[in-house]
Amino acid sequence: MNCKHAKEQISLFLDERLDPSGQSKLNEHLERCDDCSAYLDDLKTGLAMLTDEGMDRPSDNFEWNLRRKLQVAMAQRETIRYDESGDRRDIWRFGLSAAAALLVVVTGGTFWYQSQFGGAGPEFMGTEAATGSVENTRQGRPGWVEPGHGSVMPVLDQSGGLPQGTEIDHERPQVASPADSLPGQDLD
Amino acid sequence: MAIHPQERLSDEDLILLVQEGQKQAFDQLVFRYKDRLFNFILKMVRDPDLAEEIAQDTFVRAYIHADKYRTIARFSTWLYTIGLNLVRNHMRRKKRSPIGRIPMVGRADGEKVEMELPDKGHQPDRDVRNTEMKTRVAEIVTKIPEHYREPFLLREYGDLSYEEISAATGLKIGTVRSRINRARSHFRENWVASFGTDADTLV
Ligand SMILES: [Zn+2]
Repeated sequence: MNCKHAKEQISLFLDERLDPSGQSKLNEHLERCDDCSAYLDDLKTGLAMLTDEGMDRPSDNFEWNLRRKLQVAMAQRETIRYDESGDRRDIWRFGLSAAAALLVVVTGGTFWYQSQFGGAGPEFMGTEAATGSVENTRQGRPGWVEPGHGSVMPVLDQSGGLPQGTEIDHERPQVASPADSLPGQDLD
Repeated sequence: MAIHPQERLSDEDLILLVQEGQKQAFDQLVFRYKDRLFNFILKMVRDPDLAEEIAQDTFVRAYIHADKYRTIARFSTWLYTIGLNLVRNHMRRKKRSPIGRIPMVGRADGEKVEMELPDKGHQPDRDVRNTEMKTRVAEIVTKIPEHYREPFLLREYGDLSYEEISAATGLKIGTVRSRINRARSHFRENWVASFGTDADTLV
């Protein structure tokens, strides 16, 4: 085994794709090749760092911005649905777009208010319903809340999680190919 | 009639709950995937603000199109495939754009705006722990050529198998294998240039 081949085998070994006979051949090479041994050690150290100390974190605003985008996306989807139904489409389109815009303004305004004044926002906004939860602020800015206590989801389930006694259906029939499940592809 | 706390449910169970209208289940998926997905995207696009935008858009698409998910694929593969497509769309647009400017959509005020490529300055509301280490790791990774980096990052951050990476990227499995190997070779070379080799520290 030459060093080029050994390095290919090291990559497979790291991904647990090397069978026992391949592993013992690689071990033989590593025992007499300091270069490839160092290569493996450096990769082990470096790759572990990628998902450990070297990992970046999104900002504290991540979930809040995500929730805002979900609100807009869902409102737009409702608009499209009404468009397709052909009923009173102009009224619905105007009404829902306006509602989506208002929701974003109200939500943003509430958080702005909170960040400026530290309070829960003006009473009339119905803060709980409009923004998810006032607990979503941490040190005066929107932040992450453990799942179940707050939500990135625009429409809140007041029970804060799965309903009691929820059963998961593991026997769900599997149909269709993965090809129709790639929503990212339809952009542009 | 067993009760399943969400933390103990698999990703696939959670997305099926989302399909059934239990929107809260999506929170758990966001909680599980946001950090690694963000890192995957960040190391492709190199801009933290843009990486957040794309990561959020990935979750939005996953949620809006949750009904298209089929248990034939792991949820993580499906999610990273959406993220990868959005990254690729961005890269294509960037190549078409004039130097140094990227069209951006969906800012807070709903306006489409075009913004300058941000500098890599201070980000006051991001986690600043291990900043030095993160910066060096980011440099090491982003120096890997793009076509090797893509399958490599899907492997390291997404924990996707070669088969799953092949499905996500459209590359043959043999190509996935060799590109990951080449990416690691670049990674190690850059790593040694930045940190020195393990063998040095042992002496
Ligand atoms: Zn060797």
